[in-house]
Amino acid sequence: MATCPTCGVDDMADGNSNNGPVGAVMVVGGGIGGMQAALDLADAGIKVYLVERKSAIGGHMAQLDKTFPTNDCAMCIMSPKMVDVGRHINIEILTNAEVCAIEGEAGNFTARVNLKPRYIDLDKCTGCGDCADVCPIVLPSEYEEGLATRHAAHRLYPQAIPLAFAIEKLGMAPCRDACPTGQRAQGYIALIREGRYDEALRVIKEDNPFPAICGRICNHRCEDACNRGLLDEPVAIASLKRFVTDQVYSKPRQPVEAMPRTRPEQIAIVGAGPAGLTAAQDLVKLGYGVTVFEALPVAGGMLRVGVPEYRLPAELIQREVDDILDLGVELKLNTRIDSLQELIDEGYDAIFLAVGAHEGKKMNIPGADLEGTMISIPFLRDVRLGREVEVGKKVSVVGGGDVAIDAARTALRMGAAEVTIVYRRSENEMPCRHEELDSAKEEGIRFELLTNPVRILGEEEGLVAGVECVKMELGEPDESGRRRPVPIPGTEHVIPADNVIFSIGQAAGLSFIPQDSQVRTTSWGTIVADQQTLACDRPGVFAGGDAVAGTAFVIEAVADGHRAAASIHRYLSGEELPPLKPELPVVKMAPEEAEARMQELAFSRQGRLGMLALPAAERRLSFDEVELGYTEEMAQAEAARCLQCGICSECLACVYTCQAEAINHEDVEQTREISVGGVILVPGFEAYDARLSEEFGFGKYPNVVTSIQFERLLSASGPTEGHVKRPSDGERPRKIAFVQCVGSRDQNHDYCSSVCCMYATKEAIMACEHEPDTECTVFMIDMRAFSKGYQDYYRQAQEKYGIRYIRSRVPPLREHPSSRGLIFRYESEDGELVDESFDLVVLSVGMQIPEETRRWAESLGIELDEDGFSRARPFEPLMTNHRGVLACGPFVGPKDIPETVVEASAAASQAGGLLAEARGTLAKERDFPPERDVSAEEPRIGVFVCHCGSNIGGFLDVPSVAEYARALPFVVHAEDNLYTCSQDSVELIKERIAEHGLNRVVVASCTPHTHEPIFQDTIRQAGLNEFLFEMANIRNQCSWVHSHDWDKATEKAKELVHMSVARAALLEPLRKVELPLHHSALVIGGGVSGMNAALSLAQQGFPVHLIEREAKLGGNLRYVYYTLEGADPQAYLRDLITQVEGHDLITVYKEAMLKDTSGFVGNFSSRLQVNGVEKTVEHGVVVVATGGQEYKGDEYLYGRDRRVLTQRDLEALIADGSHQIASAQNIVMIQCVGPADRYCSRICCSVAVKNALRLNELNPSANVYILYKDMRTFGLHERYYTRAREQGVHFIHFDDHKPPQVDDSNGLRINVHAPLLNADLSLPADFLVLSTGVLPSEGAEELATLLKVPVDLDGFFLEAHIKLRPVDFVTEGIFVAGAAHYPKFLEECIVQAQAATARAARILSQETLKAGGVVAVVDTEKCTGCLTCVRVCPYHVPVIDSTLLGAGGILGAARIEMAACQGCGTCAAECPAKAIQLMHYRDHQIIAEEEALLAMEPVSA
Amino acid sequence: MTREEKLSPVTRLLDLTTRELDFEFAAEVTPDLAVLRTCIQCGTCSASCPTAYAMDYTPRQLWKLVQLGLKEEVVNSRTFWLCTTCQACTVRCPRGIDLTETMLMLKRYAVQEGLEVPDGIGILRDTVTTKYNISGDDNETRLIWAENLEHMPEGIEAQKGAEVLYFVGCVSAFYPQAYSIPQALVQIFESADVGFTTMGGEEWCCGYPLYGAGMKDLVLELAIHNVERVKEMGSTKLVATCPSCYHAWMHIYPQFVELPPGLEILHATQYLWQLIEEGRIELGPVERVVTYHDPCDLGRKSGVYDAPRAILNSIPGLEFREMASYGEDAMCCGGGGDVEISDREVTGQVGVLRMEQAQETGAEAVISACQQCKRTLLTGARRAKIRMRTFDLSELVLESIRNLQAMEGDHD
Repeated sequence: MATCPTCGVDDMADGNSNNGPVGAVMVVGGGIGGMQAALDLADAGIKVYLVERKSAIGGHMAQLDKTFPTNDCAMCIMSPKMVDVGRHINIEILTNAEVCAIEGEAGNFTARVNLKPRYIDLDKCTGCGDCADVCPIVLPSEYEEGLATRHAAHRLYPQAIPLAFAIEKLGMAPCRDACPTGQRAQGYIALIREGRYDEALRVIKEDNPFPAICGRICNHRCEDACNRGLLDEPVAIASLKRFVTDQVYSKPRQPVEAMPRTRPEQIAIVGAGPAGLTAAQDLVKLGYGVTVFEALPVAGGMLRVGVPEYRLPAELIQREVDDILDLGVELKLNTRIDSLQELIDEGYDAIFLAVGAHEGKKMNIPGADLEGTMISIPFLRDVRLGREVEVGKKVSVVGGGDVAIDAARTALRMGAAEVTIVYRRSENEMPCRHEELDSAKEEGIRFELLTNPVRILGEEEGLVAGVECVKMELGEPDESGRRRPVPIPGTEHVIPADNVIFSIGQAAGLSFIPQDSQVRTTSWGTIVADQQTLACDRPGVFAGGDAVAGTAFVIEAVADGHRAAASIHRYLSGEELPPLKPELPVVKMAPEEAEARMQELAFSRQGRLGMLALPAAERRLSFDEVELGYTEEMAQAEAARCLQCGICSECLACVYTCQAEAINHEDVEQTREISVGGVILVPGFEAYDARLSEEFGFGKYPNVVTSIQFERLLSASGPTEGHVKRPSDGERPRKIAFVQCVGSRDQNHDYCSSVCCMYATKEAIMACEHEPDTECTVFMIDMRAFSKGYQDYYRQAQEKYGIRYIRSRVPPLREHPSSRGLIFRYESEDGELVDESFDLVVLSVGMQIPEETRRWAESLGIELDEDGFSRARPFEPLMTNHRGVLACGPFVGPKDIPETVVEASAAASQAGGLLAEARGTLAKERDFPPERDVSAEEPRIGVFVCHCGSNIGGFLDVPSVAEYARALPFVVHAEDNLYTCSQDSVELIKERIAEHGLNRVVVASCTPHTHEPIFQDTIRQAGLNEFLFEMANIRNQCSWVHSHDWDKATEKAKELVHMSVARAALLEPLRKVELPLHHSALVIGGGVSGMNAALSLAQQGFPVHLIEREAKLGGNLRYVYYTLEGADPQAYLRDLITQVEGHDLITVYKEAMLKDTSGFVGNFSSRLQVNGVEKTVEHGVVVVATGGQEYKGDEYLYGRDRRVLTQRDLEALIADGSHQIASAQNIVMIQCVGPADRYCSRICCSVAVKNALRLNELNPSANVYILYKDMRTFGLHERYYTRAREQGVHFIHFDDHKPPQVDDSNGLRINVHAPLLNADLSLPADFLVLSTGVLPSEGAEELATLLKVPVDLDGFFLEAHIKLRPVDFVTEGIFVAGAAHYPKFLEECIVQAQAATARAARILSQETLKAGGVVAVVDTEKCTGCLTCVRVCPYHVPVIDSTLLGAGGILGAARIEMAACQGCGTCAAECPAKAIQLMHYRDHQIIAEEEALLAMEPVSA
Repeated sequence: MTREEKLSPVTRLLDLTTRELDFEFAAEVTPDLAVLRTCIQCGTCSASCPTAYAMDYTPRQLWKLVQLGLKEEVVNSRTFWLCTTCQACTVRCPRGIDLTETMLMLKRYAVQEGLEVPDGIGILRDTVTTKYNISGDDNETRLIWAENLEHMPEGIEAQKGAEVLYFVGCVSAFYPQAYSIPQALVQIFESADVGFTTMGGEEWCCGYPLYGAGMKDLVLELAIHNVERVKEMGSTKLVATCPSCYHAWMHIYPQFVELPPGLEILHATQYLWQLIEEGRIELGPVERVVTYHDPCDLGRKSGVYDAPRAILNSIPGLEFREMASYGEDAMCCGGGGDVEISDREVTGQVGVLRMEQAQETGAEAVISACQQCKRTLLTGARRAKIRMRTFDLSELVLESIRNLQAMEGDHD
């Protein structure tokens, strides 16, 4: 198979060197199908890796409200399964994961899995949700289909498994990437938008101790990188940073707490500029002692003495410096280090040289030393330090950098009347910030560009009189990339000046570094230091900032400070260079991506907001700060322009909030190689993007929603809490239209999505259930109600709920401008054109394979068909082209939940068959210490009350609940925990059990539904029986429902704890007993289903007794001669029979009948009559595969006229090569004859199409007419319906109430009313072929009685649950497959048979059966044998055993087989004699709880 | 036939036992019978069709009849004569069937086979093939609209080598209601200094009316003539105000003749937008709320949706509102496909419906870019007593230019 497309690695690790298969399977896709396959495999002893692309499993089913046709709540039926998956010891869930390569062969694959970072540690996260609460990033919720929002830190939905949260982060925002210090700009911008300024400052200070300074004078490379610049202008990031400090610094500074000194080393830092102070801060925080030496009388370096006051007020610098000093930095001002050696000799463990570049220079031209010439650096320093400085009326400044502009503007403020900047290149090349340039211009500073001084002219007194300059032009680029200026001869001219200030570069003063100090310097006046580590040649000496870089920007100095501190720390810890950090992806957008993001966030183009500033006239002469900053409104508006490039802004609010310390923003993608024996692909589908069908106006008109959105609107947990409201105005829609086949059955999707007709019907019914006067109309092409119970559901929708079904698709919708209802015209069934308007339109979007799944599957080498579905092999519907890699669910073709579940089980059994010999080799069992016998002990109860971060602790008084518990009877220990379920807390529980000799544990926290198993496991590890545990749900029942009343919530929590403690005192240990079982199966029925079930079980290593009523195996398949797909079923049948009859583990009994079955799961005993001889077999499970039969009635002259045939008759004639058929000119088929009128037989439409295509092949000029109510060629069968139409087969719809009539008075003619033509047709027929539907097999009901399993109204066997247990019976150990369950296609029978065996294998693979625990127990002495329990038990478990002595010593009492009991407690509740007790929920245990509640004193007292 | 007359559908009797089913006919009247056969009877076509209400068989029914080989019912139906060829059905058909072309092929079949055709269709053929225009007037008088201008633009008639050849079209040339459109365009050309000319009396009908009436073969002679004239004139740009002429030049002529190499064919809206973008036209304020009607020949059939909207959005002071159906979903005005010739009443009724949509927007005027649409909508407005004005986009642009000139005049 192919190379990994992501990581490009192709040398796959050899995971399994021995030859046997690997006892593990990788299941790809965590939807309902993936979960089912995982559970079936794991239960049968196979280790499972469940790989899910999203951050939680659950798939689409988690979004559904109800399920058809039983209207069960989808989440209610799915959630237990999800929890089972989540806690199964042999299922490892890999979320945010994608399989990128599969190599090897069946039994021995190596799968490479990419694990995307979750940024939240699964092991530490307790799912409390505090991170989401503080996350400032708001996104449309995918789960709510955009009808609600979520945060970047999120859980897909409340019940998600794993419960842990995840952070959505695309990568590093470009602003952060561009910043030398890695400032999390997107983070503080997001916080500003929310008005959280203190937090914004906190995240800034993570990387930069000088926010007020950098907010003013930074060269902000972040803004150059900002993706918003692709649209209009970059976000004003620097101004926003400044705004944060404006806000926070408007309050007095609070002293910062000193850091504790934890390290003995003392470090010297030379220079209190940004580099030195940053390093000092970092080192003090690491616990070192730090002394900073500063030559000047003030700290701040160039910031303090180089940048003028009007740009950077001194008090701000002082504030930020003080914050650092407070941490415990020793600062020595006015202390010039004259000799590096002396410092070294003083014994500092490390030295950081950050002396800056405070020495300027003059141009080497005549007159440069005249009086009145100055250098910018000392000039600015002197002004800043208040020293006496005089300037004349006319000042020329030479240079083009920020310092030159500072000098010019300062000169202006010092009284110069005319200031000119002389610069040798053009404006484009000026290195200063353009804002500075603009301000200078506004203030009236003149510019002489492309001009260079050649000498300074002096007066006689030696004073400056002017500058002689020459004009320049730009030549070739120099090494800096800028074009080199070249003088133009003859352009000399004089600029009059009283002063000339040179601003042409700076250097460090390095005279204190002696030649022999091993610290090298350069001829440029800089120190030589390693670029990465800043280490000088002499060990222990480091250098950074301007002293190394020459002149750079403050932000680089800060970055150097951080780097130096890190290097010094490593140096002192004896570590080498740090391992290079993995490169994090940077979110660089293309313009189209930026545009798309803008659309997504519903922004419009808008340039940045400028800051307020002093008017030029006012500021020219003043050193007051020029820029005034933003107002709050301005800042929030500017912050809202951010495109949130990384999604997660890295504002770190979650990090500060999470008390479990589970957040890790440095998480990176990882790759894992996993050895498995088989792979099951269940990647699922995506809903068609309705935006692409513009005519329906989705995305344009708010009241057009998709069916999945409508599910969310119906759901009680959805955005409208189950009240259907129009998105436009929140009003209740009274008229709702459902539009079918959106993204199905069109030219781009030549298939039917199989589920939409029924879900639309369900949604319409639910809408009417919510508000009975809702009028629903479904616009459709055909109604496809093709499965068990569907036709009846459809009928109910019309008759009970008045839902209208109209056979017309809908053309472009229009929106009514004022009501915002939707108007459209449709063609009624008799050709009338009707205009109608609706309040809400629901688009029934179809299923498709996502593009990314297609690419992924292709990269794995999986063959797909033209629509992206996995291509099935004939008679092996789930096997991909790569043997051992199975596919199931909608990935194989659109389908509903039960079919997906069946396929998933079947795939599990196929994989199980491949790995039979490795079963159990990788599966684990929990290893527990022996249980402590507590029977003789008084109850000693420990109570643990959980804060759940702030989820409980924020709403009620948790410590007082613990305090209260401590005083309750038998409680010997009570405490409160931050998170009782966190790893450290469960360890603590174990310690407490040992410490206090606890023998009962009560946890007051959240729901037992998700958390009880964790705690039961914990106490079991501490040697206590798991039933000695009790839980009080004070989160859902107190902090959630009483979130506004602290006192009542607290009081109720105490009450709940009291109840739990009372019950806990009476809990008893329960143990399961082990029962032997027969590891063999009985399969009833030798058709394709029975034979496949037998074969599949045998392949998994289990002996099978297969009984067939007839003398030959094969069942109905004997009458199928060709398939739609063109395969040869008879060849397949012959092969199948050979395999079955030849298999050592299968015993075939022909002409055999089941006479009687007794026993229970694992231990059945059946009496057979084989060829008249009786025989008894023992077996652990039963598979019922008795099939169905074609109905043969007397409708339409059937049986009376030889020209009238059933489809099966026709097929036989065709297969026989009948000349009459081949030469027939007119053949009419009528659908839905016989029982098919009551329920849909599912297969007849496709069979008719199959036969029509065959007729067309035999005689292309024949007219084949198919008269139908609805063509129900669901799923991929639609392709054959299309082909039949293309080839000219005539399809004529007739009305349910006006069936066709046959007339044989003059030849055979069929009269039918065709409503869509508004015509009565009379059709000639050489043959009339009836699609008569399928009945259950004869004797099915008797068999049902014998096995004590139910059948439905139509006589088909009734499964345990129509959606999620489609092949199980309610009775444990009995399964159903094939047409015995409902009419089915050949492939469906094969798959269902395999599915039944997967379910059976879960039982047969166990060495013994574990029975007992929470089961009902009969006290026979009280039992009167009244039969109540026998009648009420939903699982048919209790029997009256005539050998038992009951009440009063009378023979006959109830017996409940503990292996079969499901522990539901119905019998215990109903037993009038109180003879039945449900263990763990015994009467006295429950009553104690109630008494505790009633006996309560008011807690608040 | 009015809507009310149609509203009592009578169940028809179709006895296939006595009929010869004609599948050869079926194959002849649609581009690809296999594709037509994939029709799933969803009814999108009928529901999209502006004139389906007046048809004896709705489109959905007609396709079924074709599929069943029931030629007699099909050819005797008036359904295809009421097709405005607006293509609303075709762009929405989920099976991708070329339904509009099938309607045209049915018309062609009826004409070729000499079956009964609506009276006006025959007259149309005679007029166009003898007079070379649709009105029957003397073709030499094609520039009569220009006589009302303040001055006759220089080189308006057959000036060789002019950059732009303006193909005026029959409706603007002969129907006084539409004179204002060419008048506006040439004045814009003058103010933008565009060198242009026309073919004058040598311009022949583009042939599109014949094409739409099922007489595709007769287009050849007209096409050859017009193309020859363009070659003689040597212009590099051909600009049409009529979307039908534009569509014929763009999409139908290439089926018959070779166009002069390098000839750029533009609809007036596209060319005007070019001029605006190049800064050759400067627009002044027009304080008005307007909506825009997409002509089918320009929008759905030629894909020109953006240029007219770009122009509207660049006129200062103008407030532009879309109708409920616009762009690819725009409703036909009723004036296409020679339906007006077959049944004046149907065109009139559709025009009313479209004007009602225009009225819903609250606009004061409806703008179109087609003389036929302008006429139909104007008629619709009168019938429904809707007080809205209708303009061609050229007229609006001219007004905008004039307003700017007036303002600048004030300043001088």
